[in-house]
Amino acid sequence: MITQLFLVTHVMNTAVNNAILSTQAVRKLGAIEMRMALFHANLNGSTQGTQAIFFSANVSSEQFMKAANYLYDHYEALQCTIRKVDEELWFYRSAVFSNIPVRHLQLETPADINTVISECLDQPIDPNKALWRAQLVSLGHTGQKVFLFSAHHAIIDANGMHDLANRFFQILSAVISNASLPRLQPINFPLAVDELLQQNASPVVVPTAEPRPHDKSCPINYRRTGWQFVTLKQEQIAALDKALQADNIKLHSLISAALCQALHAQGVVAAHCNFGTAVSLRFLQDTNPEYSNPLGCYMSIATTSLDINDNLVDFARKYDRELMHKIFTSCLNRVDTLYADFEAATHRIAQLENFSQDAGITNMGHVAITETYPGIEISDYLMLANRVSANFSIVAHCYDFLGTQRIGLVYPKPCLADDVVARVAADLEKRLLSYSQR
Amino acid sequence: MTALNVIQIEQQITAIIAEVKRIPVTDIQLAPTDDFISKYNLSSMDAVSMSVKISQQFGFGFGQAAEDIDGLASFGALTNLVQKRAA
Repeated sequence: MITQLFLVTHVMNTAVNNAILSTQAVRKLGAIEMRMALFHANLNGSTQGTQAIFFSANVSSEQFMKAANYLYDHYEALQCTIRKVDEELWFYRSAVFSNIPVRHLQLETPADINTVISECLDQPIDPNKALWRAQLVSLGHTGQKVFLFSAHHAIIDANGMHDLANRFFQILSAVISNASLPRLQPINFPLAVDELLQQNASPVVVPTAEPRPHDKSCPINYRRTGWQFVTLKQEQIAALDKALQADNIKLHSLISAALCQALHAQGVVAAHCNFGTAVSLRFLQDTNPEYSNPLGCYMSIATTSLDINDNLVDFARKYDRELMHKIFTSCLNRVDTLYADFEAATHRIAQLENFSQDAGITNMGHVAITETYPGIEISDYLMLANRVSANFSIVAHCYDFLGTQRIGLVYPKPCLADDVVARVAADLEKRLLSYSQR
Repeated sequence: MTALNVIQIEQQITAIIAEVKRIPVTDIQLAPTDDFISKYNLSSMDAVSMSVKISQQFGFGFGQAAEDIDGLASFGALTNLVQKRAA
């Protein structure tokens, strides 16, 4: 339980209040955005992302609100909601800043921050009101702060999260320094990635594997997202890089292969399993400068069907080859999905009591957030996503920041038990370190 | 499409690698046996981006056949693949 948690401010400063936006349709959701929206709507906020950025600075509630308001003014996507019109989902420019949960919390016991992060992660964002929310959390009275930003996956992916964090700290730095606010070009609503994909294709048939039953059945409304981290420090990363170079393997492929081995060794997946890899399609914007936009959901999932091999190097190479093939044959092709079909599919997932898609990975690479700004120093970063749908047992969230490689194992509780994940984390770390020390 | 010779294909692929890596084309020096992905530190998504450009430029669907992925093993393998598929 959180002790001595109280709300410092929840009231909009009238000086930064906005005129109410005229309600206006922006565009229909693309296929990937619609999938995210229906996962979110029918699976209790599943797929919404939260980034937690730890930093030190002297920031008042009013300064935080002013910076958040400026951020809202800057990105059109932050002014939008999602509405169902007939059998279609549409983005509408109708989110009013004063109705968006933006607040400052004073936490007397800094250790309670994980409870606050958990609430951000699992409390579904109401897409009828806005597609994001933000909190500034003060940890005790030390000057240590946490910026918590949660957003609906239909408007943002990891790339957008990092861009938004950079602009937020740029604005906040100006606000707390009493400098003039940076002149930022408005970021219009992004084009749906579907428009940049190749010809329409038939829906991809997901390969079958024997799904593992949940450790404990639990209605979706009572589930929580859990997370445990494997952290590799600079010297461990250096040793790993050296071995990877010698074997000519990518870090991503090694982590994926070692994770599959650890999941199998700990009884989470069978020897033949499905493994989903989040694939960024951001590079498709490169073809035309007018498509360039840091926000939007520019991603796809490549589902590979793997026979887990005990030889880590061989298995990593095989996975890499399979992944590339899946990217070409599925991720780059446009698949139109009917609203009614995916609505029904997400309702079915809510009733399942097995991890139908086994496990997965999302590799965000280097977190491109500037570490210091005038008056602000960033010290740590967490990126998590709501996983209560339990279609995956564990999804590994990988990224490096400040010289540390993080592998977050994110999972639905109590569908998967904490101690099972702890064993997977220990096993994965052992495999990676053992490989680096050959 | 007019049949291209190996040198023309090599030149066009070199230009695509330079574009993906955002470096001058004159900085790319490749022999047929070179593992261009390692040599120029291409990420998986760089490789995918490059292959999409190859598909557009040479008019075939790179990656639709599983063996296409072997074309990413070396500069020579990629040149041979393009020559075969774009014919």
